[in-house]
Amino acid sequence: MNPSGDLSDDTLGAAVSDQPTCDLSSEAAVLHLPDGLFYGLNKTGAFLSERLQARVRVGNSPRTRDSGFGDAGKGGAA
Amino acid sequence: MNQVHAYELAGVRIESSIELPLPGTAAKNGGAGIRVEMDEPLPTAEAPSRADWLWKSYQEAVLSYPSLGRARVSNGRSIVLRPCRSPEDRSTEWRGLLIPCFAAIFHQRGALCLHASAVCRNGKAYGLMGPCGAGKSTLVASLVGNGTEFLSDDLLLVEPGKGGKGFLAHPGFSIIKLWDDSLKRTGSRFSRLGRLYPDAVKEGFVPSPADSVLRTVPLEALYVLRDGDEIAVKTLPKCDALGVLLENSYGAQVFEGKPMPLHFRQCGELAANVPVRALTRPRKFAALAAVRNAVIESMDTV
Repeated sequence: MNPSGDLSDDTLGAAVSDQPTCDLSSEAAVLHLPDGLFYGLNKTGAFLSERLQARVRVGNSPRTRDSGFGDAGKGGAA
Repeated sequence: MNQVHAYELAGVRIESSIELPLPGTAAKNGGAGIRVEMDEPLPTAEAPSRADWLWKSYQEAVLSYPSLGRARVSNGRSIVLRPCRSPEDRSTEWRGLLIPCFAAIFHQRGALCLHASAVCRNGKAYGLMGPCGAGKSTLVASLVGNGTEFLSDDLLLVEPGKGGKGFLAHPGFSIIKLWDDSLKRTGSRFSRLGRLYPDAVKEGFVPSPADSVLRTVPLEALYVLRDGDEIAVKTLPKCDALGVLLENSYGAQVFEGKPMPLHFRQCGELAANVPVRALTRPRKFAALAAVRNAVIESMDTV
């Protein structure tokens, strides 16, 4: 993130460490520990959540998305 | 010296100073994983006035019950019972309250304990989940002897199968809690054990060994009981299944009802591997046979 707080290609994104996730086959769920609520993730959300377990540069995210979804993934906004 | 009874539950050796409704173990030694002891009676001034759980920490919980006493469940290894002073021998009445104590102690040991009853059909386990009074035991009583066998009531211990394939279900306490009405309507195949805790409306019954499965079996499916006008069985999406498992497993009550990471991941793994089906049905005895038949039909449907 640059000093003004905007995202740039070099901004690093990563899942926060204190939100346990569980794999539900092609779906997933994330537990928000402070309030004890969990959130369901569909196939796309589960894919992104898995990639975000390691640090990812924002500039690389469209490539990461395409590598997971192939041609189907290219239809969305980059 | 007091007599020590040795049992086994979910592969853990238990040594108890009071008799428990569990299968005995042939192994004479090897060290107890869990000990159950009866301590000195509570002073009258310390007798509990209401039923509740107090979790002082994850590894230290106390269950209080009026006119019976307190049970301290510690470190996944020890249950110490302190009875209220009473002229009668009330040791048999601990049997009902020991089931939640064992749920707590296995939770402390990192096991996944479902608030479920279970039957076995063709060598596979099927669990029935729901809150207290949902009708789990009544449905189990109706199923046992009609092509299924008794596996557990109220507490179902499950664990992942070897190599991460599926889940296994362990046999539980040889005891089922039923209202007198339920027993009459389901046909008596159980012998009466008596009151399981003071002022209980339900009584304890024991299934015959011929109707019981005493070995660990693969868990094929879970059902959650819901009220409705029609009988229907529907497999839940995995995310909904996870919510049902979190609601119907021991452990969520610890720390203000918030699930802990291990418990969350265990429920997720179970939801990913075992189908959870919503069983909607009218709650009336007249419909019980039809509900039983629908459940058996769904068990036989792959």
